[in-house]
Amino acid sequence: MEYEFIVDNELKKLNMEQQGQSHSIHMDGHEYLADIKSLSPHIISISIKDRMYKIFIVRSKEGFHIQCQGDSYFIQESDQDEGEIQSSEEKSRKDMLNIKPTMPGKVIKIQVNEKEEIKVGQTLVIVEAMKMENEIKSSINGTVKKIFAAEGDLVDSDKPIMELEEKTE
Amino acid sequence: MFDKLLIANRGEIAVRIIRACHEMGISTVAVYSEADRKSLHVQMADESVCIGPAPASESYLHIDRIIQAAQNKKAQAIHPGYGFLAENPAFSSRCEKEGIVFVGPNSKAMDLVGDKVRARQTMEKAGVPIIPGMKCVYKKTKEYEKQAQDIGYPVMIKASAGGGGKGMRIVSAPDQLKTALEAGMREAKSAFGDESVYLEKCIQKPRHVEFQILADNYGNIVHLFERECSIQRRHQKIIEESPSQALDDELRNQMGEVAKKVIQATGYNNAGTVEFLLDKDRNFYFLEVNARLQVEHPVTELITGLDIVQHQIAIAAGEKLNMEQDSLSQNGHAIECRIYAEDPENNFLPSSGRILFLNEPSGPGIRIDSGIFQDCEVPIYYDPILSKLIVWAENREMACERMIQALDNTVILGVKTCLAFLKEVISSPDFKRGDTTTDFIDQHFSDWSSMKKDPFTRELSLMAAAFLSQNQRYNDRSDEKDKREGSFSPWKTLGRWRLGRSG
Repeated sequence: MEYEFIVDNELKKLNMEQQGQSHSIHMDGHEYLADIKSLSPHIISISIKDRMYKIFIVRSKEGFHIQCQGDSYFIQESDQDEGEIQSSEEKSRKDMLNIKPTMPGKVIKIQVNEKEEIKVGQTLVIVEAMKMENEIKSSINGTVKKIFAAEGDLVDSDKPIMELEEKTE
Repeated sequence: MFDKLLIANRGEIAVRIIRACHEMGISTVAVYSEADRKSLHVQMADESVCIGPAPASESYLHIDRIIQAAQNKKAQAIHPGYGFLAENPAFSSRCEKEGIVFVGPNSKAMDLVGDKVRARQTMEKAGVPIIPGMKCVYKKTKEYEKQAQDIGYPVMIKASAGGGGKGMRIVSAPDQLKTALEAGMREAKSAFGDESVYLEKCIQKPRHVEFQILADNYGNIVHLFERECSIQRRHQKIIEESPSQALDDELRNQMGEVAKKVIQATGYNNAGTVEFLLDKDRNFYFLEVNARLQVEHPVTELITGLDIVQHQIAIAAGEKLNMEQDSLSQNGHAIECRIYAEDPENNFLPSSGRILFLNEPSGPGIRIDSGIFQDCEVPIYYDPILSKLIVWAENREMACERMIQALDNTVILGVKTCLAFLKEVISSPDFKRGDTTTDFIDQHFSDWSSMKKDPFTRELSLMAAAFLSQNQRYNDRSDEKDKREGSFSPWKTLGRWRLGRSG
């Protein structure tokens, strides 16, 4: 059976077939013969060449939360085709233009004005969350198109504080 | 001894204090905010009182409500833990006024050591070496500019009421001073309610070495040796150990005696920590006194075999110290890692959410001071520390290996954590060599990325995900959640069937 997952922003294809007690797996040009068992609802053991690996896994609505030998992964099932993956790149482009705080907090200082020209790395706004000040910097060269928040405002991580416009060469 | 004690804190430290009380036969009262109704400390305490809404200013920092809870429950003493009201002289003097014993230093000593500028003056008088810098606070930026020139760049901005890295900034050139001062003052104001800041010379590549002190109410003082806490991120400690690799017995004794002198000069009692910076030429400078139980106290407990929290409570109850300096010794090596809910892929900003799965390590020499349990919620309102992992072994090398194994066996799913980062730091050759200075993380891990993972663990994880997809559509947990939220989607149950591709 074919599976498509998105992990660390990459699309990964995997083929897994039951072969007697074992599973044969193909991915990225690698081939494995693995004995996969569920030890408990959230622990899966994978034995490859008599070596056992334990994988801790919880499936939520958003995807799979996994920890394996100290490494953490968040894996999503890909119900998208290539075009949609590209749109996730577009989305990150959009995120660069719509300045949002990484977590809910309070706007301490807005360092730029509307229409002002800005450069990559320039501090746009300082937001305080959990008593730490975080500077949000520009990742583009361009201008400030619109500012939606004022100093002292409480802001959410899903609403932009300001919108930028990229300079076109 | 007290019959009943109230813990004015939450999370792992509240749990730690409750444990000590129960072992001493003291009944416990927990206080909690509305966000913490189901928290571990509330479950463990004998009684609990809700003291207000989630924001700390409305609950854990609300002096009146905490005092009232203590009075209603007839608690004779309050342990403040660390953070929140632990170093607030207004709170400790209020306790004194209400006839409630505050488990910590007297308010006069707390006031003195809490004012970093006055503490520096006191130390200078007592002949304790201090970092060159300002001896008072000024009003105008101009005066800071002049002071900075006199001290010589790079300079460090520090909050007068400070601690915990809040308000701290390094300034390497005059043109950065003004902005840094403003930011430092704002951060100081919001963290301590006092915007005063001062400047100190920035000691290059120092180690952070601190001494744990116990002082009773009768002038008896002992030190419980050092902890080295050089591994810091944004001026916050993340890994602590004892003994320090930089001290030999001679320097250790010398610093220990100076630490006791600091405590004596400030009239300090109960448990406290005297922090020093140690430069590469083995000169040490007084940094500050932390007038509280510290996050990293378990490191000292493991190498001395003492229970610091129980000693704190005994001292507060008026008991005499039952130990002499000469009878104390350091045994083996201990390391602590602070496990924070934070996102390594997002500049280590605090993360929150529900812990979907938890596995805590166990085995010889492993201690967990935890404030979490499986299925608990990690609220966004407070310090993001989840738990502390502390290991003890015969020597440093063995302790490092034990820590690496213990970190590997710590599993926290659902909330992002710094576990992988901690493991890499402990595993790095520089850490193993004991080559630790406060710029360690900036120097060796500034470009660290959580994306650089072992390709094989990624393949294993993908296999596990495929296996789970094959065997179950949903686990019970998300099933319930889906029903609750009414967000049932027909597409999910249809499996891997899709509408025609575009293009």
